[in-house]
Amino acid sequence: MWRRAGPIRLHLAAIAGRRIRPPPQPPTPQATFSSSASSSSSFHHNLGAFRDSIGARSRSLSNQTGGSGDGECWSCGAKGVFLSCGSCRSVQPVDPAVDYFRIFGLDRGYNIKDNNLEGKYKDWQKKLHPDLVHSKSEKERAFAAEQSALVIDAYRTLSKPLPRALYLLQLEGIHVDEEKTINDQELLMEMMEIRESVSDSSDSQTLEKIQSQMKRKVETWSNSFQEAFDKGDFDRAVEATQRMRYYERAMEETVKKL
Amino acid sequence: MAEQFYTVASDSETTGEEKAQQTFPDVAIGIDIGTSKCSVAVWNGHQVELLKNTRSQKGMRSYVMFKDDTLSAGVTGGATKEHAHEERDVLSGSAIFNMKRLIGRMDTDEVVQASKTLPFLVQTLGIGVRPFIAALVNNMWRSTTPEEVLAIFLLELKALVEMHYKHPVRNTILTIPVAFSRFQQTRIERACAMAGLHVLRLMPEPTAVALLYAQQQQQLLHDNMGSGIEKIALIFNMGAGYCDVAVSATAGGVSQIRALSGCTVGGEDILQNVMRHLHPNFDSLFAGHTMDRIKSMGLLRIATQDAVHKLTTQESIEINVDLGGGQKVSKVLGRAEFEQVNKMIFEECERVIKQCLHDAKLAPEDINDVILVGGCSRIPKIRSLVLGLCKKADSYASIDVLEAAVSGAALEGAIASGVTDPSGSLDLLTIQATPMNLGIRADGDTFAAIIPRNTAVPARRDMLFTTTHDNQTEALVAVYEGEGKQAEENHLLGYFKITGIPAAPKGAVEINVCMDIDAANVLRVFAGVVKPQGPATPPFIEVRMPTLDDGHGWCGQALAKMYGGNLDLAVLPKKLQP
Repeated sequence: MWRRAGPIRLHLAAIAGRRIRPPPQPPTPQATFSSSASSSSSFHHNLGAFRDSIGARSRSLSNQTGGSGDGECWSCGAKGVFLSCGSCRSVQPVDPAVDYFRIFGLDRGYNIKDNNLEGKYKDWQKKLHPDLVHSKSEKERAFAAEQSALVIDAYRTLSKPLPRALYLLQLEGIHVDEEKTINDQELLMEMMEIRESVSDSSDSQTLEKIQSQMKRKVETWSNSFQEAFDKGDFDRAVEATQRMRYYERAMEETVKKL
Repeated sequence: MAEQFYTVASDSETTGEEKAQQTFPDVAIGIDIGTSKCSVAVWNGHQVELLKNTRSQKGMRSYVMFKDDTLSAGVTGGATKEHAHEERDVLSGSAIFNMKRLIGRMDTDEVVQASKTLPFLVQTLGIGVRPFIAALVNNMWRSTTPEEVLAIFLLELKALVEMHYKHPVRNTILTIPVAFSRFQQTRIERACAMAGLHVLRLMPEPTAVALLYAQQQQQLLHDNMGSGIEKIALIFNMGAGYCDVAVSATAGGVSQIRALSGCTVGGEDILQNVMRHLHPNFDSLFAGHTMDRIKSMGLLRIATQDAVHKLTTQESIEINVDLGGGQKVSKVLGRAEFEQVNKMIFEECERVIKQCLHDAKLAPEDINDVILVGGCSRIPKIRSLVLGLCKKADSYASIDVLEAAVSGAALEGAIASGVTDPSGSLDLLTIQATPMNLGIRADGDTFAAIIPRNTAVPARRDMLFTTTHDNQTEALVAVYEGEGKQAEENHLLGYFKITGIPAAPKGAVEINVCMDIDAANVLRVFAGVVKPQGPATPPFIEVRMPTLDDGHGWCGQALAKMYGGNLDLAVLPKKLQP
């Protein structure tokens, strides 16, 4: 159902300060071509190098030193700076070691008890958004663009359960295939049945009923993700994310018809 | 946007880091170029000030009059009272108006086709090139372009501001419709550059309104009247040319644009529908653009405009107009009939609102305020349909229907210029979202969206593709923008080739296409082979979009004819990205 990603992915995990797993042997030749989120990050490395020449955003992923995310302000030299300097308000360059949870002051984990993510996200944007540093140097404007995009991604990822789950797996160096053919006959039947009942039903009541059924399923699998992830049972955790995806898709189908 | 090489006046001033401090307060001005009317506003140090022209108008009719060797725009409106242009002068064929509907469009575009009944000349060949437009000067058609006309108008607008503040103006924030393609945006920037204006940002109109709303909410908070919790606003904006909807989530002076949608229907379409209803032979009658027909067309237009306006407050209106040449229109038009005639337009408005709510993943109950702006929002049917869809009894009251967008643009101008206000009334931010999907052609003629619409900006997304033929060494990356599932249904922004792909069986090579929208809303596309890697693979390519200039209508077909499917790409099965 899933595959541990190749060396570059692990490299990213290493950047994130995680333990390194031995690279597994790809089970099929096809697998060589599909450990590809890794290539996308390697692409950014290349892009980073490439962007040096245009002088923008070059530090995004090429600067891999510093594990804590706290540094010295490039502008005023203040210590313990995170994303933006507390004393001179300068936007700092992106540190790839920063994980999304830290941006929101959260412990790394699936069950985030914070319900003010959007508020924190907006607070960061008020410090980092490139629109607010128009009159600053080109260098700082580039930092702002990077940081702002990072915070947007962090918010997008953590605010929804499925992306949050996938991100946690990613931090563990695990990568999940989306377009995986379903082998589980039972699930296959279930998905077909759901699809049929969605396309057959024309009244909003039936659709809403299906929708709330799907919602419950997503919640159930969300719980089992947490359980499996906490135990370190990544096989089951991956399966749970895939189930969540299927039921979310089914929910989207009903929304389209409603 | 950073089209600095266009602006002659800038150069060293903007490049140096320390030189940002100007001797005069260089605050970017806010401009709202409407299809029908334009306005300009500036942050004057304390608040937003809308400027008036010599005729004391804040909303200045958008047109440029061509007369002998002189050109004059609607900003001054003929300068003196004696020479003041009347609406019938504007409709005489000598003036070009509705530039905003024509700019950056091909002659196959239905909006351009619909403009052929305007009094000035809009000639189309239907081959996907820029339409030919011309104004009547001394009984001759003199050609021009929408960019040129807009530039002349902007030049007059700039002069008005400079006269008022007695210092030169260079930077501007312009509002644009949500439905504007990136190609159209470059045309607007081009027109600004011709007028000596540097565009800091092009702001979708409803997002400018969202900024003003955020300021008002902050103000309420200061006055201890607001609650400080997040407020969801649906902004509906409909003017003469376009209809836009945005959903914004505002808290603490920050507005996140949750969703944007727009279309090209507006008051002009309503006007044309009513003219066709009043005069069934409308199209055939006015196709020729002879002198007498232009005159009757103008008369019918004035009478219809008047009727449409009056129907916003009256239940019915009597129209009596002598078009000359024995043609008369006498009719009583009731509101119900008016609404029936424009049924399609109202349905389109509904579709746009529903789409926006759906994209924002919100139900009507989640909306705190419904903000109605633009001239067409005065039409009772439009008011009732927007409020009905949002399940609200009334709309947000503290915003001016015609001045909201330009005021928001002026606020953004002050913020973008680094102006701060001690009272905190500029402590604002709008986080923009992309109005349309951006992607490339893949899997035959399918449109593969790389940055989906309503993605927060700045944004960077990438996607993997592969070859479709064995030993394919070149691939064509054709970049599109739009909502269509098929690539050809969307706007083609540009194209380039990836060359030197290592020979391999089809599907074995991985090609990454990355799209990046920076803070200035500039779109760059990066592409290159990521698998296999090594010295034998070609360097990456960075292309700033759009690359196309005129004649983009047939580029897609020309490419298809030239290369067929030889350089095609296919989407690699996606990985689950967080």
